[in-house]
Amino acid sequence: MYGFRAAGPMEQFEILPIVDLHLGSINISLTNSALWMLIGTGAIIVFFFAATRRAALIPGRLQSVAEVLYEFVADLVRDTIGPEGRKFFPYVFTLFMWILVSNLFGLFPSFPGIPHALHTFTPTSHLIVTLALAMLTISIVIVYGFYKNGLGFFKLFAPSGLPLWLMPLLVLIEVISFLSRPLSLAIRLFANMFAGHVILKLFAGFVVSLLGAGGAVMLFGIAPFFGAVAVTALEFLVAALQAYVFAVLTCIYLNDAVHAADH
Amino acid sequence: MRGEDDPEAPKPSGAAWGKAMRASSELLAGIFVGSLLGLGLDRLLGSEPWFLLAGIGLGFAAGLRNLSRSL
Repeated sequence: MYGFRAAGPMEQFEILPIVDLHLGSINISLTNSALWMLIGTGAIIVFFFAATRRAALIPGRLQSVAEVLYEFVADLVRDTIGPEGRKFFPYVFTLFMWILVSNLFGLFPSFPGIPHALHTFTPTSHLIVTLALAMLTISIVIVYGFYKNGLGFFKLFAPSGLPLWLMPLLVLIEVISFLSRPLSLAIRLFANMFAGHVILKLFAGFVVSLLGAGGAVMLFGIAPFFGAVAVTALEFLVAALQAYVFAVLTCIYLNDAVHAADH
Repeated sequence: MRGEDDPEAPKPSGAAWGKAMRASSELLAGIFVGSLLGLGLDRLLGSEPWFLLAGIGLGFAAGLRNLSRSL
């Protein structure tokens, strides 16, 4: 009776090529995921250029936002890593801003009627993206850890005050625990974004299906509609929270690298 | 979220959601990495399934270690 057709909750995660590009046998097409990464990165660059273009002692509105973000991350880095953490600030800040913007931009509604490939897309809802970020973090931890502490970095895997016969087993467990960190970091961000978007689309889909049923059944559409509104609000919270959590854990892992030898 | 009409249902809480996600991802990642390492060693040495079994056990222990550290 109505021309509505609810999209499946998984269609939003499809990777679709926008510009087909091939380098030899490697597919380097510009996909919707890449497009939204570029949009996010571009937005951050434009925002900070605009915010710092006319930097004044008494900050304007844009500059205040930029300063709040800067100080928020700077405090986080200083509190977790200490004064040596300053050199990691650019990395943590970039990571935080990029994840925050990717998460938030994914919550924009798509324009109705545009091709599927141009629909709003959340890059961080794919495990491979979050895993790449986490791997980068852990690579920095390993490289810097060995550079700073030399072989003392291995003390990270040997908890002090342990009976000697337990050592081999515990070291093995600690190594696996260390290696599982990037994965757990990646899974957490990915699962939050993924699950949130699925729930959101499920509720929205219920509304469409109930409206499509017609008659008095349409009244029941009101419950999932409020559900969708509530989940949207929750999603904004989760988007900001997960960017923060990723930044905090990155700092904690970097702290291990900086202070591995004094364990 | 569950129970739109149920006034007793807990309100969607970002903090609790985050905690649950955190706990599950820590445990999952430990088991996953442990089993993967075990499987890799098995493939390398052709000794399936012994390293995989050991890896699952150690991975579970590592996952619990992660969990206890994170909560």
